This record gives sequence, C-alpha cells and structure tokens, in this order.
Amino acid sequence: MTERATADRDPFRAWLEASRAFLGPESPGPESPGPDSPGPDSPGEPLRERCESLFAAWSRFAGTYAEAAAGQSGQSGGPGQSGGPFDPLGWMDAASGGGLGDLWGWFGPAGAGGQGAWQAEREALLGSREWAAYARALGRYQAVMAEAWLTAFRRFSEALAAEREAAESPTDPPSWESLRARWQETADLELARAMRGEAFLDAQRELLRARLDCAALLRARIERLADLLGMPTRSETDELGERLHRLEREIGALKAGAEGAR
Amino acid sequence: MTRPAPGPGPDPGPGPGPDPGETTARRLAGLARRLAETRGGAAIEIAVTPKDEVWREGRITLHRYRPVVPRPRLGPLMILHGLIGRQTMTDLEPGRSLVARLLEAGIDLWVLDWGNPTRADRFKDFTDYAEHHLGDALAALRAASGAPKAALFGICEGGVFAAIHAARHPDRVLGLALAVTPIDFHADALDPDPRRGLLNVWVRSLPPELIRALIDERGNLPGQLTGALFQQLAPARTLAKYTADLVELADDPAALDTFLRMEKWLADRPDHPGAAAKEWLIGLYHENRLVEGRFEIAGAPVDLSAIACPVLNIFAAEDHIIPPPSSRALGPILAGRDYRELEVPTGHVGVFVARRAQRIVAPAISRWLARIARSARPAPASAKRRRRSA
Repeated sequence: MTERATADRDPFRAWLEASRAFLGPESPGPESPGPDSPGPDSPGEPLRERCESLFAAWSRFAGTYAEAAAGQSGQSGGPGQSGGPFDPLGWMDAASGGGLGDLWGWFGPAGAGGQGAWQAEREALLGSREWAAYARALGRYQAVMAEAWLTAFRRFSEALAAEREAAESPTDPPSWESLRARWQETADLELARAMRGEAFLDAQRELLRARLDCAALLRARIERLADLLGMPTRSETDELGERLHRLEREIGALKAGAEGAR
Repeated sequence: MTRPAPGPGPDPGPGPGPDPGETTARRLAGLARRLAETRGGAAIEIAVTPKDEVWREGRITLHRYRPVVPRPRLGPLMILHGLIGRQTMTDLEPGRSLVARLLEAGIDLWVLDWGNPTRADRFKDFTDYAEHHLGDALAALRAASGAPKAALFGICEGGVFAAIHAARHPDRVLGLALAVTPIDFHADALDPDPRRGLLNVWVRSLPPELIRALIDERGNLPGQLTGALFQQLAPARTLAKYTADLVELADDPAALDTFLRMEKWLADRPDHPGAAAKEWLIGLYHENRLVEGRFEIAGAPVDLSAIACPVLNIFAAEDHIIPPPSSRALGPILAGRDYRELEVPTGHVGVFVARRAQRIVAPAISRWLARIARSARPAPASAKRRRRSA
C-alpha cells in the first residue's frame, strides 16, 4: 500500500504525520535530529517528542496488524479495502462501517455528509494538492507557449535583418501595416508548428488532466453539500435526465410505429 | 492611455501626417462611443431576415423564410448548422447574408435551429440529431410545404448530420449540399499547411478517457471551451483582432458594426450535448468511423455510399478548422454519382460571410438546385414521343 493510500485509510496516522511535520523537521526521527530541528529547550519539543513516540507506537501496532492480516490469505487488510469492525487500519474511518466509524459519522460536524470532520478536512487537503498540481501544469503549459512565441519573434527579427542586409541600397522602412501582417503570418506559422509538437501536446494534456482533477474534487464536495441540505444532487438529476431521454426515445419509436401502421 | 497635453502646445510644423498618438486616441474615442451606443454590442442584431416558425420540439425549431420573389421556384432547401455554432452566421447582415442571396435566387428556404442545449440535453447523441430530430423536422417541412422531398444544406457538423440522413433515407432527400463538412477526420495529414488541422492533431493527442472525463465534468462540451480552442488555432491573429485591428476599425463605422455582429455570433456559442460530443470527438475525430463505415446510428453502421441524391460539396481553400482534404474525401466515396465540388477562396466562416463568397456560394447553390429541378421535372409529352420514335 502506498504512503498516501495508507494515510487515506488511517486518519490517526495522517494526523500524527501532520503533527510531526508541523512541530519538527520533516524527515529525521528523534535519533537523528537535523541541523534545523528545535533544540531541547524549544517550547514545542516535549509535544514533538510525544508525537514521535505516539507515531512510532501506532506505526508498530498498525504494521504488525497489517502483516498478520496479510498472512491470513484473503481474510482482511487488502489494499484499499476496509477490514472488520476491529481492523485498526479502518476503525476510526467513518467509511469503514465499523469500530468508531458510526460514532465519527454521527457526531461529526455538519457539512461532512455523514462522514465526519475527517472527510471535509481530507478534501480540503487534497484540494490544495490538486490545486498545486494544476498550478504546476499551467506553468509548464505557459512555458512551452512562451518558448514558441520567443522562437516566432526570433524568426521574424532574423528575416527582417536578413532582408535589410541583402538590400543593395538603403530602402524605406516597411510600413506599420505590412510589418503587422508579416508578424501575424510568421507568428501563427511558428506557433502552429510548436502546437503540433510533443512538448505542447503533453503540456496541454497534463493541464487538462489537472484542471479536471480540481473540478472533480469540487464537484464531490458540492454533491455532498447538496445531499446534506436535502437538495437534488447532480448525479440524481443526471439519472433522472437519462431516464427521461430513454422515455423520449421509446415514445418516439412508438409514435413512428403507429404512424407506419396507419 | 496617455492623454494629450492640454493647450495648443508647440507647433508640430509641416510634418508628414497626423500624429499617430492622436490618431489612436481619436480612434479609441470613436470605438468607445460606438460600444456605448450599442451597449457593448448587445444592441447589435443579427439574423434579421423575416421568417416564420413552422415547427418546434423543445428547443429545436424549424422556420420558413418569407420569400422575396413572387413565387419561389427552387427547393425547398433546409439549412442546418452543427451543434458547435449557431446557424445565425448565414444571415449576418444585409450585405453579408447567404440567406438573403438564396431568397433572391428564388429558393423556398427553411432553417433548422438546434437552439442552445443545456445539461438537460446531455444524453442526446448523433442518433437523436441526425436521425430523429432531423427526420421530424423534414416531416414537418413536407407537411407544411406539400413537397414530397427537400434538399438539405448542411454546414460543418450539420453537414455530417445531413449526409448521414441522406445515406439512411434516400427517399426523403432531394439533394445534399454540404459546406465545410468533415468526412475523413484523419485527412488533415494530407494538408501540407501546419496551420490547418490543428484541432484534429489536438483531439487525437488526448486519450479517449480524458475526453470522456472532460465532457462528463460539465455534462456537455462547453461552448466557451470550443471558442477558446478556435481562438488558440491562430493566436497572433486573435491577439491582433482585439487590439490593433479593432482600433483601426474605429474609423469605419460600417466595418465596426460588422465586427460587432461577428462577435455577437461568436459569443453565442452553444454547449455541445455531451453524448453527441463524445461521438464527435472520439468516434469521428479519434477513430474516424464515418469514412470507414463504422459509425453507428440507431444501432446500424452508416454507409455514405448509399447517398443517392445529387451532392454539392462546398469547401474553403483556406479552412484551418476543417482542412479541405477532410471535406473532399466524400468525392471518392460517391465516385460516378452526381457529385460536384465547389472551392471557395476563403476560410471556414468566410464561406458564409465574406463579400467575395456572397458572389460565389449562393449562385452555385441556386444553379445546382435548378439543375435538380430540371432533371426531376417530367419530360413533356412531345419529347417522350420523340424519344420513343428514335
């Protein structure tokens, strides 16, 4: 199971990881403090140590359980599956349907669609991650386009300079209109070449994917909110729309059949 | 923008012409005035040629244009656009109206309008449009006009709908005119100009599951997205259009109004119903099923070679959206039939709005319809007798 998948299913572990990151340097453990780690007199140090020991204890416990569960072939603990009510990898997760899940779901804050605060916060965290990925993809796309524009401008300048050099006698500078027309022609040709290249196509693909990831996350949140407020969700209206469409088709076929029989 | 300094200022002397800064400032002021008068273009009208609604089903309407000659002798001809843009572009303004030219030529002219689909239409697919809605509209036309058949004039994606319908129902279609219609979606590779066929390359570069996710995200293919993609096809021209070109137009009120009308049409870009968009982008752009006889309508593959009526295929020599080889691919499929091509020396939209195209397209369509009418007319009895004796 990947780091992220583990954290997704194990909110306690995720919180501990977040606390570690917040209270101390990211990677080194208590045995090897990094140069920037808070010193023994740091006010956060006792809390950090407590977190570290809790983290270590929980990791040992969860790890031992996961190993044992994996040993019992097919009984529990497969990646992405919730185990039974006493599965420590899932018992604090409302979605697991066991352990403390019901409690979390029932008493969790409003707005979380019955899945507790963890779900809302997890989505917020994921949203930041998706948004960062989108910003990265957009930056890459813009960089590819910027390079194409610069290449176009270089071609345009080189062509003008070559013409001036080739002229046997000094000529009048070209008119503003002719320069503009020529620039458009050169730039659009150069940009078209770039926009057929793999660098552009890949950047465009990734940008689209990243944008869709952001939108999917937002849609899931809105869907849950609509459900909480007793409003029809998009999935429900879509389902209704699909049924109506099928009915329209059937009515059309019946009408056509009746007209044909007349 | 910097304002010119107040007061007379230093004498500029006998310069070569007006100060470019002042000229630009004057143009911008003129532009601002016209935009204010038209409420940012909102008061500008397009598609004003009088017509009457004959049939309606939900958002979809069929109109019949009022004739401008005493007795229209050609047609009936039904214009149908695709779902990417609106058909209003065929009637942009009096001097640039293909509709007006066709009416003047004595054609009984009809127009099918798909309206502006919403998310409620997301499950509509090609079968709905090319088979059911078009079939119902043709039935309404026949009932209202008394004509046993009608000619179809399909534009872009509307041409694909029309070609499919003509192939599936040869008995209903008098003639098939297509304009800037893609048939072979992979024929862009035959076009040597890298500026043409970019859309084909882009769509093919996206995995089908990403296209499905893109459409499912909003239910439909957003018109705003297709508009942005069209602008991206020629970025330098797009930039110039809204900057330097626009400022220059300010000196010419008529040209500025034409610009605003075009913008009005461009802004009215409908969302493409989702299911049909998936077939359009995956089934056609990606998999090129139509030309290969693998595109299914109502559960059966479409065979374009079943088109039995006369065909006039109009394509634009400088079309950067539908490369000419993509349209001309219909020729070999209909080899040996009554098939004609017309090349128009414009871009994709220029076929309908460019002034020079006004002198080419409408006359070609009316000549074509006249020929169909002549061949459909029963020969006079004396001629029959002559043929028999011969």
